[in-house]
Amino acid sequence: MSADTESKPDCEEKSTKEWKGLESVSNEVEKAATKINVAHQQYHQDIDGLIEYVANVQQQFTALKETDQDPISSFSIIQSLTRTIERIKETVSKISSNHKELHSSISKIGKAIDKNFVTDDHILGKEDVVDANKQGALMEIICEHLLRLGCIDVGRTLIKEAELDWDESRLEPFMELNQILRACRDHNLDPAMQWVVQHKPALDARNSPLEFMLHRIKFISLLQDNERRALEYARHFSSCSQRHQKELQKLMACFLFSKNGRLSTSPYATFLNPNIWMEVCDVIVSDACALMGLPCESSLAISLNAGCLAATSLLMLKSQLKYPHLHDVWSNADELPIEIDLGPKYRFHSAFACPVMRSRSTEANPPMRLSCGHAISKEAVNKLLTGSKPNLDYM
Amino acid sequence: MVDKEAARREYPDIRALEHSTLKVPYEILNKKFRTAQKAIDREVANVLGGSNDILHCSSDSQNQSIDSVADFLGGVVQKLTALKRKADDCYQQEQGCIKNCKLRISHLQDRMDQVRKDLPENDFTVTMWQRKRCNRFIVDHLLRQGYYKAAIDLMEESDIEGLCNIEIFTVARKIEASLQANNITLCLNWCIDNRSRLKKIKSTLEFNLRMQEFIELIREGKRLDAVKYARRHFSNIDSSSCDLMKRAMGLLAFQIDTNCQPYQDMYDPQRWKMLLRQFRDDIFSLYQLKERSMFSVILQVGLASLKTPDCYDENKKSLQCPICSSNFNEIARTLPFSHCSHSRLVCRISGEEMNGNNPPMMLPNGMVYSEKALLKLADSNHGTVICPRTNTSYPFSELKRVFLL
Repeated sequence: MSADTESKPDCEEKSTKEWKGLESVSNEVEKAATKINVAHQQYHQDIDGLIEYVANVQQQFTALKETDQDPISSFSIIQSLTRTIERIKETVSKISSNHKELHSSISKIGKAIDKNFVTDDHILGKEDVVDANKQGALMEIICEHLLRLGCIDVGRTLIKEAELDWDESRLEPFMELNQILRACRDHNLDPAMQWVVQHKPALDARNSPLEFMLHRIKFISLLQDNERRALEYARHFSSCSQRHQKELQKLMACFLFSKNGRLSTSPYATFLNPNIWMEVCDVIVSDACALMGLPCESSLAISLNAGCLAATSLLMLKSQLKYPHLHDVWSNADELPIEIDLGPKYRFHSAFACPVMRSRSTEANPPMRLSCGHAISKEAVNKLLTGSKPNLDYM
Repeated sequence: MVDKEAARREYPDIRALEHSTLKVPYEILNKKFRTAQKAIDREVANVLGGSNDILHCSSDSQNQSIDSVADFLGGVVQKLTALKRKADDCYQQEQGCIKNCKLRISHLQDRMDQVRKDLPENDFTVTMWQRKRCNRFIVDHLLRQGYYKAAIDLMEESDIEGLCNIEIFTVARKIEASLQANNITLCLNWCIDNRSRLKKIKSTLEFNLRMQEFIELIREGKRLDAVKYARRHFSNIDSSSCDLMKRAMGLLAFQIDTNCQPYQDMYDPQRWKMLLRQFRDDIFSLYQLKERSMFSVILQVGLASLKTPDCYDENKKSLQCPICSSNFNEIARTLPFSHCSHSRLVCRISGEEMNGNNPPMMLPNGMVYSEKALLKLADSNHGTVICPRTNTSYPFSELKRVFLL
């Protein structure tokens, strides 16, 4: 769709106008940076030249004194002094005005930022609904998030600073995880591997790819310096060959490129991407949390990411469609004014909206399946039955 | 309806949410520029003064000795060197600010590149970027709450130095600490340093600080000093503060333990807290920091957009849902629910979405699950499904498909 519209400028105007705001700001910053650098160099030349010049004049005078030529024509002294002073005045004023001139390019940056980014987010609410007496709960949530990130020390600091009522026992389950993650970040897989062996049944029940991922990293690193050892190591894959057949085929193909670092230019270069270390850390965290009976992903991260999506949608709707009832998201206390589709990743509960009544079903008004298979709310069924003419569209 | 990717390119999240990420370092640059200009002008004036002296003395007395002219010139060289040092420093600081602006732009550029490539949300680079964003929000919030050490530690751990406005908060922290110790000096210096810009936002902070000093003098019983102080500092106030001024003069007639209003309030130590808040508001608006942290703005919108009535029903809670966890459950209680005008079913067994490819199927007991999950159950149990909620079993053939509109 985008390719089509790009070739038709009139259509592009309406539907896909790509935002170039960041580039405009970036341009202004680059311009200002160049101006500042040029001004800085110019100023260096000016001031160094001036200092040298004045020092020279000073030396001339000192020399004059030593030769003790007397009487010197006071006229020529004054003349040369006036010249010197003129030059000093001229140069230093230039230094000041050159710097002053930077102002326009600097303030252009500010204008570009204001023009291209959304400044008015009043629609997202004017005050904190999460008030001060809930800050404690919020800090606990942040703390849990930190523990999941493997930042146990930061968590400890926060517990102290925010005076949370947490003792070490709440941190304990995360200690091992923290050590495993630290080791992984230093590219040491052994603790992770041990942990996987310990929890193999539970991990297999979860269909976790972790074991395979760990073997894969190890295999690739062996492959790069010793083909034979990599081949020997490959037998570790036997336990997970069923589930990861496709990947395994790719890994075996890597033998073709194992010599002289050709892997990095091969189709399998992705295996060398340093991100795989971070990825494996993420899988460890979500597996470990699942085994502890915690959500696989940080609740705080989900909520904030959902918030970013929702806020962006709201601000976009407001700017494009001028929704009159969107003055403030919180003005209607029961429900957000519009539906925000966050995508399947952020759906945790089923929601049934009756296609007839256009409302969410409740305990008292559950969805009913009609004999044709369509589902509508009970209230709608009652309405259709008591109405003068049952609507055959649904019956 | 514009398709989602196109909308995302036209209105990417950074456009909506990152104004202050760039505006704050810009304001710092702007402030550095102003300070630099002042400093350079001061040094320039010094040099000009020095060189005028030479002219004066050489024209005053025709027989001015060469000796003293040389000395004067030496003085000018010194002043020029001082100017050079000062201006060099200024330029370097400005370049540092520019560098920070560029760093932030390149961080946002990473996101823009992802949007242009239409990378899905589960792409790892997107996840990493989002994680940094979360941590930026958290650091900002912790700084605002005054948990500086945790904030700085997190910033260092998560590789987002330069993306957080740590300098402003470091300055603010020092001044706040001094205000908490009932000392106005630092805060007053800050006001003087930023006088022109504070004037622009019509700040009354400096006036209120002076007023506090005046009140403290009276509190200590130094009424005469208080009057002198008022004469020195309140003589050129504008008409808007005139009433406050009169009230302040009235205070001279009241003892500390008075219960006559408004004088009792003026003696109230709570005024210090008010000054602290006012300082915070002012420093934030000077640097274009939002009054409320992005963290709380975004979190509230996020919680509301995730909140469903099910989150408050013990039987329907989901482990993976943030709102169902106890802390968030409490925090989100006063927030509105998400709006639902389209049915979206999530299978209780597999957690997968139900749609045309994975349709909802109804058991004879009225429970609905996804076809895929039920098939899997039936496969492992000789064609019978056991409802996980009621434990009754049914042959697969008794299931009926449900159609959603």
